[in-house]
Amino acid sequence: MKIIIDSTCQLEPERIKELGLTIIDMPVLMNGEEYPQSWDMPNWREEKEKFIELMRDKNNKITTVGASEAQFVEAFEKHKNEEILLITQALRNTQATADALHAALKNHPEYDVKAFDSRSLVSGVGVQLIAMLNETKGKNPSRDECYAILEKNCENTHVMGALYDLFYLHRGGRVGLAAAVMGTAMGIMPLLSAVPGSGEIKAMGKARNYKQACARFITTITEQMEKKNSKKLTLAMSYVGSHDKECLYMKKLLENAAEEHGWDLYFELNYSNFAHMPHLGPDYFEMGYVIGT
Amino acid sequence: MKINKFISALEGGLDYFKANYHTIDNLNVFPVPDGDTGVNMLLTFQPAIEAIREQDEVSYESILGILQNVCTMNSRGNSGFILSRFISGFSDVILKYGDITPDILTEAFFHGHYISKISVSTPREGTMLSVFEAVAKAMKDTKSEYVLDHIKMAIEAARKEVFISPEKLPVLKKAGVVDSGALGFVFIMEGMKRRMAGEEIKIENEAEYRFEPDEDSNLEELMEISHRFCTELTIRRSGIEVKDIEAYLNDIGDSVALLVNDDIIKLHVHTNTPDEVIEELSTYGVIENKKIEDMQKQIEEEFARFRHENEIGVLALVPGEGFRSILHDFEPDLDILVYGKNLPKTGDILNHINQMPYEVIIVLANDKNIIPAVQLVKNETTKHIEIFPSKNVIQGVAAIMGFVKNLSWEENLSQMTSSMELVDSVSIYQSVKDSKFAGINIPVNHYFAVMNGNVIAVDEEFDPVVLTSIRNADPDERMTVSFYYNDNVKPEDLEPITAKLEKEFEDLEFETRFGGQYTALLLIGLE
Repeated sequence: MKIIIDSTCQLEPERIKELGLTIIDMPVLMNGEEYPQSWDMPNWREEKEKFIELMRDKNNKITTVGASEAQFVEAFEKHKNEEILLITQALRNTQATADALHAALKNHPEYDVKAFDSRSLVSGVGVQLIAMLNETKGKNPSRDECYAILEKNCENTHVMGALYDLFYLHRGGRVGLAAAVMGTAMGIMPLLSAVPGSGEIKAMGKARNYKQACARFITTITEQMEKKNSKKLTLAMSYVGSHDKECLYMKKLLENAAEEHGWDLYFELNYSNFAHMPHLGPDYFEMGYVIGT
Repeated sequence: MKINKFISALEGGLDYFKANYHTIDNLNVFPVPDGDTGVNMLLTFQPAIEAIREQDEVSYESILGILQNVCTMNSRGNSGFILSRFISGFSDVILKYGDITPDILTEAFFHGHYISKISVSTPREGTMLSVFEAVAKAMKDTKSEYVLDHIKMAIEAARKEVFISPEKLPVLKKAGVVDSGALGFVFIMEGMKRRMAGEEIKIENEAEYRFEPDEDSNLEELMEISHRFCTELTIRRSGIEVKDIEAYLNDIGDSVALLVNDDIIKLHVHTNTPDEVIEELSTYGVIENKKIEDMQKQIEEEFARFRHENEIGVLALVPGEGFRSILHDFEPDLDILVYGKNLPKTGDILNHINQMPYEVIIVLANDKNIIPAVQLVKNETTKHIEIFPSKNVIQGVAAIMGFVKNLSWEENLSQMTSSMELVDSVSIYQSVKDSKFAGINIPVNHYFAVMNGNVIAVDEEFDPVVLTSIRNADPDERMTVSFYYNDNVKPEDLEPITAKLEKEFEDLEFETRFGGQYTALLLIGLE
């Protein structure tokens, strides 16, 4: 079985190669032209830093478009004689991608594809894959068994994150969402989450600094773990630029909480992919996590 | 007028607008009541000011070039288009003279008005266009020696025009509001004037711009629109006539606005057939940056918001006027009741709650001695009141960070509690007589700090008490320290203290603001 996943999954190139994944790169446009980027570009870190600098110039109009039918077909073609498990970001957030995937599956029955809509976004997509791979490690699961695990975890997959600048959400048309966490004070960090099982983004208030943001995240995770009566937490974080320090602080809090509450914690940290930056901006950190298995 | 002063005034205009743009959103009913006029104007104007701020060397030529181009390329919505066109025409005149004097300003307003008016297919009275015209005429009729005086006079004329906008635009009269775009422009001018005069930003009172709606009007009528989709795009043209495009757009929609810049046409239209428009226009040239918004959906959401359906109100009781703006910085839609030496009366709280347009209200008492009064109010009103147990205003400020107005009250109470738990507070007092507090002797006129009911520092000097408080409050685990002072402390008194602490704790950030509380000289929030 081959796994194909879109580039919203927030996994770094080394990790993608290690897991043997095939990636569909979500296209990014800058000032109306497709911006040259892909998950496996050499010197990806420098390339992303360059992209971030371009984003900081707010005159540059950066946005995303949905994946095309051709991209899906090209990915399927690479594994034409194999069973394919395709994992996508929440299709409710990208109608163009949903339409393209629908067309690819309908027009190309020759490929053996089972498509899973993660109903999540950012690290919530990748962490569902990781939780499934962790659960099946050392076993030889069928595609249906893998799919069943993904389905089971989907409703227990949460996403939270903190932004440093609401401009990009505004420009991306998420005005209502941005307004919900808007203040006029400088330095406020909006906190966002995604509804499990749908990928709908919701505001969860604001923080004055990243330590406060992380403390809010830990409180939320602890409440969710207690509500589910679970001790198992699989969590993946991603960041851009120099915001790994926030993630490392969060990791420390998670490890403390895991020790205090006896959690079985799996943690991994990745540099964000291109596809999210146009909406979230050049400064953010976020996490996706699956509670229990 | 020196260029740096002009840039500073522009920044003042932006800052003032940013502080008040939600009022503009709330008043937006024309041409479509989709509640985004403020956001659209902000996103049109803000990038230009940010680009100007990044310039190392400045001249009228370079700054106005940026102002024209960036506003044009970022213009959004009807109001954004009109504002960008005005700025473009206005800038042309200033560029011609390379200076700003009262006379040049007058000419610039006339030209800005002309350019904006000819860019709109159907110019309407009672909008921003009328304000441009009113200001230009008032400037022409008045001889001012100084630019600031000319602008002050112009703002008076602009405000007068805003208040007669409902007479000119019936839909405003029906809704009981002034024109939001026109008022937005006044806010920018007001901010420029205030910065030039060295005055503070003021949070505008939305109620001043509302009046009794026309008796015959109803919300449903306002919700009806003839063209559903706001469509904006840019065409890289190749020799086509602008008139042809304009004629086509007027045929299939309304609110047509065109910006023509060399080989680029940026256009805005309200239509029911956006896909057809894009298909048709793609025959004229390459289409870029298209944006389609469903205004009917926005209107429905806006009216739901207007009716405060699914929304929670918050009333914060605060012990000083300064906390009004502090809390509004974090959550612009809060209701605030300020009290001073005496705690608020039950009747005052009840009246305030009854006037709030929400059925579910969270009350931040911010003082355990006020909770009984709020409890009485809860029994006296038919509204659903939740008392949030913040014990002081520092906890109240922190709790507000967890508030999201369209979440349920249960979710909000949970989030607000989580936020409140992330802050500790210290209060600094001066004793008026020899006393004993929590087992500690405090001589008369000595300063002392209280944290969690314990005295943590006493000294005859103010500075050591503040410094000791911070040093004993686990500063390595904190990131932000907020000082809220009252009338008996000067902000400059705190400067040497923050300078010392900044050296000692490099990761800590400090902010100093006027709280205006009656009792404590200083309230300290440790986050």
